Amino acid sequence: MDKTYDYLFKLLLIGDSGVGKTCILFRLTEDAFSTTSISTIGIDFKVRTIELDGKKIKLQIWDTAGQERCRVIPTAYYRGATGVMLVYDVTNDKSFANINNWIRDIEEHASSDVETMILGNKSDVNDRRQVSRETGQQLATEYGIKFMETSAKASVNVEEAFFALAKDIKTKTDKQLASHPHSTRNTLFPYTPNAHHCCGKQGCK
Amino acid sequence: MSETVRFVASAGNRGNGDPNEAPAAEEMHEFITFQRQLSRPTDHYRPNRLVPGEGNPYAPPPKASHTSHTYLSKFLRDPIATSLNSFSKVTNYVTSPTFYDEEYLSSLPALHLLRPPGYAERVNRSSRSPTPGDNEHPVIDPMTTSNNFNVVNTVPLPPPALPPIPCTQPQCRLPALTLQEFEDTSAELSIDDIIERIFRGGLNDNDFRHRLWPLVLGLTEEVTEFDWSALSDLYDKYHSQWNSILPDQEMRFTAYRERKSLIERDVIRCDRSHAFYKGTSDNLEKLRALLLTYTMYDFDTGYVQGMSDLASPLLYVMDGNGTNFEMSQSSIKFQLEMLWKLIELTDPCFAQYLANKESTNCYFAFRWIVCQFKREFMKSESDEYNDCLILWESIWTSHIVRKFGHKSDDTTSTASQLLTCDTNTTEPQTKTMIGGHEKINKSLSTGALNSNTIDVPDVKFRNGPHMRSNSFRTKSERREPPKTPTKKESLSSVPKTPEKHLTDAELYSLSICLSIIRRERDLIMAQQLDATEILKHFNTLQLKSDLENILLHASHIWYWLTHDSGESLLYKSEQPANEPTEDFDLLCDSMPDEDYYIINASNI
Repeated sequence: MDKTYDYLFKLLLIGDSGVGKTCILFRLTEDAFSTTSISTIGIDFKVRTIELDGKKIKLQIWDTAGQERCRVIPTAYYRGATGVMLVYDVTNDKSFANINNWIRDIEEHASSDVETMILGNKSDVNDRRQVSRETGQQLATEYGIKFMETSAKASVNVEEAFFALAKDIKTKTDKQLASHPHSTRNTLFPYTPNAHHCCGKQGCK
Repeated sequence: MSETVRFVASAGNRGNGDPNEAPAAEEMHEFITFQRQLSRPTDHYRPNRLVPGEGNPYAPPPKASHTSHTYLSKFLRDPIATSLNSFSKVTNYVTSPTFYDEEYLSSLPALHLLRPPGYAERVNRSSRSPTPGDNEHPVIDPMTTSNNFNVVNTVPLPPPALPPIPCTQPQCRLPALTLQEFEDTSAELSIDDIIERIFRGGLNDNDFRHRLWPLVLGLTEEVTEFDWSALSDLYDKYHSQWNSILPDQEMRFTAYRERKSLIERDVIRCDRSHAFYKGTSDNLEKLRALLLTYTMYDFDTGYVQGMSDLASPLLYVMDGNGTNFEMSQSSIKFQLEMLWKLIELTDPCFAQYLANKESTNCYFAFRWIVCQFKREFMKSESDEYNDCLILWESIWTSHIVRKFGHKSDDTTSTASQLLTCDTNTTEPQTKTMIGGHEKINKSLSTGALNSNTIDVPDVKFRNGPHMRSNSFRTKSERREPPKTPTKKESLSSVPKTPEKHLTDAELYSLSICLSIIRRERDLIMAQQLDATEILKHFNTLQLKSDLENILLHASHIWYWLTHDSGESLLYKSEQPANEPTEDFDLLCDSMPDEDYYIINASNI
């Protein structure tokens, strides 16, 4: 397996608890669906390398808990992210209503040029659907961002969504790179003031 | 094994291939096996001091000496002499390997083999850049590029030796307590002895747990059957509160509806591979009821993700209901900060390493703390709860064990189950009780205890036969000769320590975190993992097979913290250190001189 790549993008999965963020990630990276997945606590990531226009792109996709109170980590989590997948559950209108809050969250914490996309997950469950495709599309249009309905379970649109997001980021990055060749900085946990703690004492260099 | 082969191939590609390839592979395999065998924690204790030797059934196997390991084994055998020699270089070598002289490097014959699986990838990547034609694709990966410096110097360095925990009393782990042993011995043992026994071994079966958990959790100090009826009634009251909410009422009760929906979403995905929760089991409904009842007990806390993790094994044992969970962002944050300080204090080299890798936030320990290590200790084929319960039992009993060493000072122990799940179960009310207990603790820690704020269940609890008052001990209190602080006394000490302190259960949990971190630190440094890789490493860690070693080492850390002034060092390091030598002096007082370097090293 060739491990080299041309680009590394840090992507985030966000959205309410239980909308299927972890399942989407699992589908993308393992092409499988687990009925026994467990709520995410803390922070985790998985990697998938894709090829676009002959370039290898390594997607480092971060997954965290949906519940606000479980998220000790938000700022560091957002830092350095080049793309965000904002997920709601089509069978849960509350998770859709919360998209607005999540977008505010992104505006607050993520870098201003982050690429965002809205995913309406669980599109295979039609009998319990509460949010129509049109409603989802309309909201995304209002915000001027891309939208897709996905099903991690039935493997619908998951790859497509990540390819589309990666393509947008790549286009943007290429443009930036052309103007400022050294501008891209992509660090997960940037330097914090605490990092001086090499030894717990003052005066240590 | 396929990793091994891949590595050999990549070495060959780089032009190093020679007829010795096969022996090299073998040697490397041996070396890695050797490395893995270092049963971390205890291995790093110097035999003459801390390991009593015989007697400990969990002591690591003796290491076979191997000529090619000279430097590393020297390090491990005699870290002081070896490390003092090289400590001055430590900082450099974490940051810039180039400072290493030839002589030093050549003394590491086997170290180029210290490439755990995955390392070959790194070598590939770096060896790739000089190849002509590679420049046609810009490699946009600052995370790697910033590391290129290290990567280019591909001679891996041995991780600096793990400094031992200066714990003055050997600790041990015992087999789980059985009902038989309990019945044979309980007549002669005090409650504290029994609790210490549980701390060191846990309980061996669930019926037995059912019987002794009330004791373990501080609900009683009797070893006789616990009377659950009062707690049961209380539970039923809370249960009926949510159970009687009418559907239309629920429509107008958003706060409740949201909590309920969150619970329902988590219950259906909690431990579904465990036999107890498989399929469409009634137990899922019980778990849901338990969590909803807890919500009514503590509506402000409500439900926080992760509670279901704590509740599910408890329900499994008690097959009834009950759990408690206290979690606030600030508490977790504080614990992560303290964990970082603990690493700094006990392992400055690794702390430096983490700082270089921008990992001082210790996020990798977040889930350990929130779920009390449950996910780490049940991730195996069997999905059994047993290991996790043994670990929890040690957490629940840690505050009592703390006072050993000056046993005479009676039963005043700090009880604090904050964050640990307390439980109970058939009578979930226990949880309520313990919940009240937490409140006491909490208010204590903020220095604002007002017993009037404690609500009914608490009062009941406090009037119980044996309540453990929570004393928030100050260092001096602890060090004083036996004395029985009354509740008043311990309260009065609160204003003297206005800073935030960890509860005993939290501090002990951090001991377990540290124990796990110390187990992994060699691998992490040897592989030069970066921030994301460190997180990944800890997130995917399989710990189950090593529970006893981890707890054994945690008990060393715990003893050191509570009896060898580790805790005061920890809190001391919180304040700006104006007199840089103070920690050092403090340690000198209580430690044999060979331990100097631990603290000393931080001055380098």
